[in-house]
Amino acid sequence: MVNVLSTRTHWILQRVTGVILILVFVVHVLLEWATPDQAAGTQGPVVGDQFFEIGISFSPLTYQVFAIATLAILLYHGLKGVSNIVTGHSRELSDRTINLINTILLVTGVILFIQGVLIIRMVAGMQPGGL
Amino acid sequence: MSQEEQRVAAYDRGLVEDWWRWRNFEPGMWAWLLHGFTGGVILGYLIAQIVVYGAAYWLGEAAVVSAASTLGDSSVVRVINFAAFAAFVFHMFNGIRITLFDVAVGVDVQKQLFYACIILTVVFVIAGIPFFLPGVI
Repeated sequence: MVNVLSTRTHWILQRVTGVILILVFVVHVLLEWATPDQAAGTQGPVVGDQFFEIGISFSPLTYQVFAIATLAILLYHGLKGVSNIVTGHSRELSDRTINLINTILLVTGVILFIQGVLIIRMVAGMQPGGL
Repeated sequence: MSQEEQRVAAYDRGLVEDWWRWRNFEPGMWAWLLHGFTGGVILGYLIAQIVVYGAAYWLGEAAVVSAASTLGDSSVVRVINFAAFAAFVFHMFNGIRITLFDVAVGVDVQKQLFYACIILTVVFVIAGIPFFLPGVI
């Protein structure tokens, strides 16, 4: 179930998603700095909730694509990282236990992703002209 | 002792229960531990966000807006955001360090690169104080 991709592919994806997340982080920080603070009406450090401040700086569709892609990449990189730590450094674990852990992580990731997408779509719908 | 036993013995780093063995850790071991720890902090932060806003989601739009407003104004949440930022910065720099090793760059100076990661993290964290904690400090 969880071994659809080869170990090598996962290894490459872990690096690629890591690089993408660095780029996303830079964009995120720059946008936060550049987004006018709705409460204070000023430019600069965001006072208030960054989640929404960033959301309103995009068109709803762009925001959704960016946020959902980031969520997917974050969850993959993070949960695969947990999998690497738990399974890669525990010689005592049987293959069955490792498969069980990976399946739990996969299911957790899918649930978190679905919930995250629902939240993102709700936020996008709150904006003027939202979907 | 056979060759295989010697090889295994060379990798024997003691038991996890041997608490004081951390005093013998090399920078590479600290880097590995810190990378896992900061990764866990970042993932925990992401999951906490999804759980909190997810709970509000099922209560309706007003609850999401209320949660965002309450959390945005909370000093505790700002400190948590700042801690997540610090964890992210170290994880990012050490991730670049690891990726460099993967392409056979900088392996000979891996200790120095770890110290560079620490210094860069401290610089970025200090620079982030006015950004993340405008009303706290």
